[in-house]
Amino acid sequence: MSKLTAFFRKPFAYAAVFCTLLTAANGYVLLKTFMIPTVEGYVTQSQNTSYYEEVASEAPENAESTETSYSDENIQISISTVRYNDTDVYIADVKVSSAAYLKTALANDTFGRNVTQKTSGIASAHNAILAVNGDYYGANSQGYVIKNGVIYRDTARRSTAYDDLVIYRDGSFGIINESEVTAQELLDNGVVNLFAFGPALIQNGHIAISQNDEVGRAMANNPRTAIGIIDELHYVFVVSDGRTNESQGLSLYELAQVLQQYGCQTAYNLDGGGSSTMYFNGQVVNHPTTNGNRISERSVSDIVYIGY
Amino acid sequence: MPVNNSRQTRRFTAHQVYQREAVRERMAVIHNRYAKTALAYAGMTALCLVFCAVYEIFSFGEHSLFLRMMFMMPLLGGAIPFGLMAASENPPYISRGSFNLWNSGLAVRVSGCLVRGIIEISGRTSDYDHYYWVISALFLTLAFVNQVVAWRRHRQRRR
Repeated sequence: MSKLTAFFRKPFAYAAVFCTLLTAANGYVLLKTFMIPTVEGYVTQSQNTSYYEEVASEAPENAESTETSYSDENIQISISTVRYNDTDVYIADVKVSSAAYLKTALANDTFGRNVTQKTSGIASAHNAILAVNGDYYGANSQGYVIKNGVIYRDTARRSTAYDDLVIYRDGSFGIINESEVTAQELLDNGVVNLFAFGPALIQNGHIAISQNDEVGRAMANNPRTAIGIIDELHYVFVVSDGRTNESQGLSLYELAQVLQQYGCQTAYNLDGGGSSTMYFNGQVVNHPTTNGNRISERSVSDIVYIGY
Repeated sequence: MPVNNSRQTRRFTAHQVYQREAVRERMAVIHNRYAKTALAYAGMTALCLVFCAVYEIFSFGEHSLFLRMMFMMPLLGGAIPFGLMAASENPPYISRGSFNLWNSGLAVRVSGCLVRGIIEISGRTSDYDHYYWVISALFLTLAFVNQVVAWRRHRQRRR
């Protein structure tokens, strides 16, 4: 003990030991938050399909597919690229015969923090025809996670500033706030998928965000991902490029304007930035960025997709 | 006629002069120590401001209140109080233990702001920052308690 006391009496000995410990603690916290995967559960096959009546489980042989479209008796997809605010915006117009074809999937079929896989990898593993990145639930320690009719996390978000998007069993969309309803109540009310990112861009056909009120990330031009519903079983998936010389990106208000032009009744902002990826027929359609300007697909926690 | 100046001029023994010099030297050392600490904390305040500004340039429009307010910790907990103590005629005695504990508490608090800021700007959430607030509060409380004990001992020694 006296040796220890003597050691700490030396000039800077205490500071050196303390700084080393603090740096190690900071490193651990950052690694645990950003890098180290923490598996909390696995997706089973029955969880993916249990809540729907019988629907086709495979694409029909007469499906017609081109670089920008897909069509069969259950699913029709048409992809167009428009230029908006010096940005390439990819818009997928989707019509399905049943809400069962609008699904979500987790990276590696595993629920957990920092469990990630590229959007194209998850989409390919689930035979998705069209997919976009989801809400990146694995980046957060709170916030409801409901995917394909299963509650994976029922702790509400710390911040109630943003609402969640819920998709009901019949394929309709709703906007809820986690402070007002529990995850179990949502499930009991027929919610099968939930996205906790935000904000809601369009509600009842009107833009739900203000051009002036939004600050910070909302004002900045960035790659964006959004999903909207036009009519019953008629959806639109939008991904914009950004942070490149070719595309500067969109603000949230501009994204909402694009979705409104397509007649969306409800639309919601999903995880954007480097995560923004659109996958169609085995190819990544847009130019996703990782770590700033590098054109490279980022790994994400989950996707929302159209497929059998 | 010789004038008796004994009442006008106070005479000190050699020992008293030595003691006075020792106290003066000690005060100079304490002043110097506090001035150096205040300067170091002022530097840290500037570093926090620069770090936040540079980090936000590369954060694609994101910002964090914790990162922006990080500079307040070394400013309010270090630069200003130590600067005032250094400027004071008779600065309070602060024990080495309390000094270390106080610095540690501030360092943990700054780290908490830094980690929380980085996590917030990345768009993620984490509960780990709670540990920083609790541990820093513990260090600061210990520093205070240790200082109260040190003051009592110091007073007893002077008597």
